[in-house]
Amino acid sequence: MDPSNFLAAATPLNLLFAVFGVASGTVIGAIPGLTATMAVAVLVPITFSLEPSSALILLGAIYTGAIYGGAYSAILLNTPGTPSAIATTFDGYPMAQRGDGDLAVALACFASVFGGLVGGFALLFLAPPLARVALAFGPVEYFWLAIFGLSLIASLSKGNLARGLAGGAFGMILSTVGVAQVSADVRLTFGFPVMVGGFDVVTALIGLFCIPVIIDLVASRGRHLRIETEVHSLRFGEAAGIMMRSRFNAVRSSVIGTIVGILPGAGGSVAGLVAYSEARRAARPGQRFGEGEPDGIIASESANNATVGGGFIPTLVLGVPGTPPDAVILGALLVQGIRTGPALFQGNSQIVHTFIYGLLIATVLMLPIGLLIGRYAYKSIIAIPKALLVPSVAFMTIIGTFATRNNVSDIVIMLGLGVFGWVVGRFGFAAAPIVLGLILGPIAEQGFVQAWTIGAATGNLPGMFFGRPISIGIIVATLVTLSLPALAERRAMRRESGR
Amino acid sequence: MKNPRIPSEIDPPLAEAGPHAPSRRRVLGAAAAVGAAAALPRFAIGQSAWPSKTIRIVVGTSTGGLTDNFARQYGDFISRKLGQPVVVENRTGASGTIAADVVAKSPPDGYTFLVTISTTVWSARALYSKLPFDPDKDLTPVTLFPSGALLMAVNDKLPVKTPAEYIEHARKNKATFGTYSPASLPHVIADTLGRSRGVDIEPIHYKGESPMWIDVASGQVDAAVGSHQAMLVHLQRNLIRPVAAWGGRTPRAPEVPTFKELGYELVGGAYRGLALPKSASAEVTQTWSDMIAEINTDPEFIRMMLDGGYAMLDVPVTEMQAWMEQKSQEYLDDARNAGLIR
Repeated sequence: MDPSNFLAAATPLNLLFAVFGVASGTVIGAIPGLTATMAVAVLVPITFSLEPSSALILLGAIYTGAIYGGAYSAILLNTPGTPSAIATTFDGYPMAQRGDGDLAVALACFASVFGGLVGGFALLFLAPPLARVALAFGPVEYFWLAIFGLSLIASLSKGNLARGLAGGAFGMILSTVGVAQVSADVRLTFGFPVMVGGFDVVTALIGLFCIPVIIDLVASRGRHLRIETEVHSLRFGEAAGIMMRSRFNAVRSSVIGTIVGILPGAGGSVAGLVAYSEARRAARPGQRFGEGEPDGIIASESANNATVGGGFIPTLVLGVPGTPPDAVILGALLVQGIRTGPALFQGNSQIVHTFIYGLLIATVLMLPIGLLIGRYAYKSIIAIPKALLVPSVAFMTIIGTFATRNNVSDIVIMLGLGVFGWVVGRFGFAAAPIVLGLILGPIAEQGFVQAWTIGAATGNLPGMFFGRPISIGIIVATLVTLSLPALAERRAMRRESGR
Repeated sequence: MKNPRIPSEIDPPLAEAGPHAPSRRRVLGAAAAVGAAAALPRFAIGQSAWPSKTIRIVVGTSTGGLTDNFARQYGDFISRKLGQPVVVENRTGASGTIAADVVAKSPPDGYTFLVTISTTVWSARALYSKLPFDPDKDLTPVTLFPSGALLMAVNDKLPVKTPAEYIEHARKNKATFGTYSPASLPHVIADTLGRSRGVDIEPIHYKGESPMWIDVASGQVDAAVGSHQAMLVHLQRNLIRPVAAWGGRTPRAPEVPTFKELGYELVGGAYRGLALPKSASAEVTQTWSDMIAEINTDPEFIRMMLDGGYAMLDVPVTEMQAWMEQKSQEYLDDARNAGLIR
């Protein structure tokens, strides 16, 4: 906690890196297909010639900016700019549709900064003890966590449970295409070599979320988003008020984000989904999640930015990347000659503390920078004529898909999934359950197979699945979430009959 | 001019892991090349002299992993030497075969090459009946990268201090053994250990080393084999205990005996290296072989590698092909005996 480390972080050059990192990260993250991992990977070679702490500050700033930037396209185009922003689409886009896009963007900014600070402070003060969370999570806990995430389908599908479950199952089937998670068997490729690589999450995200929006834009007459009033600012006074009222949600979501960030193999998308699910469970009467509820954005955005600080905890303490961008940053650290381990946080750990202060500074800077870019993004998306908006978004979908794996066939898959998503969307099948299945299916499968093999080898399968405290906690949370829609319905019926 | 640290530090691991230590001839030759400034062999492709454009390194593993890290570190030095930008492209999926296929079908002009770990190409042959390319016929292995010895470590709470005690433990309890991917080297090792001593060792597959070591450290899995670098954090916290080394004693933990010394005959290994399309001319392959040899003598590079616990390896391109084929055959035989190839 040496103040000199803070001063070392706040040099003009480091501040410049933080500003540049946050700004460029935000723009990259806003473009569907260009993820935080990619943003960081592209800039890693530049950092080899920098001071280690400056290099880390630049990478951390890009990372946190990109996670925030993903919210723009989630809110304004119903397409998560990065997988972390999936849960932001649930309420963000409905808000934008009814003319509250400016408020939604401002809320996303506040929530991201708040979550980023919570994750950052956890990293600063609690990293070594919190790293134990990663050790406490075994395969079976990952399995139950994924099941918990999948239980969100039940509440997302609003009286449409069969369709939601079908979508989730379809997503899980898609996730099994290609090389199997654990055994490396090749599955469901139908003899096409290109299918061996499987369905990429980002490709599916762009196809299932963005293409239907583009088709609808082309097919409808009206404007893309409704505008209530002339846009001058981002309504941040109003947004700040909502943040204050929803402070418990913000704190809970940020803590969830930090913890999920610590778990290697989960990441921002899972954090956003779990926090969203919890916010929904704790909903106050009158809150309508999924129809433009500001608390939905707060939950998702504070959680996903909290994974930045959270993810650095196992990365720096255990040398195990907490999230995919952390893997890239870890590679850069090794090149810089920094050896990860608990020792980094003890004694004279100047580089790491300078970096953490730099990350916190960058997170604070995200407030003015994010609001500025957000306002510009919002204004241009609503002002731009549809004849220009549609081709530019369509162009971005192609570029973003190709950039993911440099694979032309991914573009074909993306377009195919997009048309499929649009068609089934006409019959009431939402994109979100499919994507949930695609993201959580592999986590569940891997956890299940590993836990089953270990349990069978040690001769204690029931104990493996149902006898561990953390597992039991997650199972209880899952059951509560699952029974919630039914309970709410019964309560509503009782109220009706009581009248 | 010769760096005295190379032979002394790497001799032991090379005894098992590599074909031979960098010969004096190679090291001196490369050092002489440095001395002669821009004496790097230049060949012409069409009208322009090589290199006149961006060099492309295709990697079959994801960004941030060890193989990718090698690609980027070499890429950095190559870029400095050639004065041309180097782009690392990660073409993941299908156990590295997608990346290998891309390079196999690239123009053989010395601008595109593959950085891969040998086992992904070898296990690919074991796993996929139909590959879009033939690793032997479509790619020329050019050079090897520094190699690290692997260690077998067990969870610290397990009353096991040697591989023999682990096998006794397995006889009583049916033990688990982590692998970083199916048909990987640890998988073959686990299977060979179990079969040779007639005990059941259940392999638990992970994606990569880090999650595997976490589960060994927390006691979910009894033991695993992997790199010193990946297990270091858990070693420092005394959560795991090294019991044997594969590929020679490692300078990072010299007190740990090798499997060979303990009387276990296990498979030979996993190597990272550079490959070009088969159609590349002898001139092109020689140039790349020399280039890597030259980087391998750079004191800054050597420091980075030794810091990471890697031993410098150097195989002239003229011997690479035969050496790789032999190693590949050995690996495939072992994998077949272990029942990993259907």
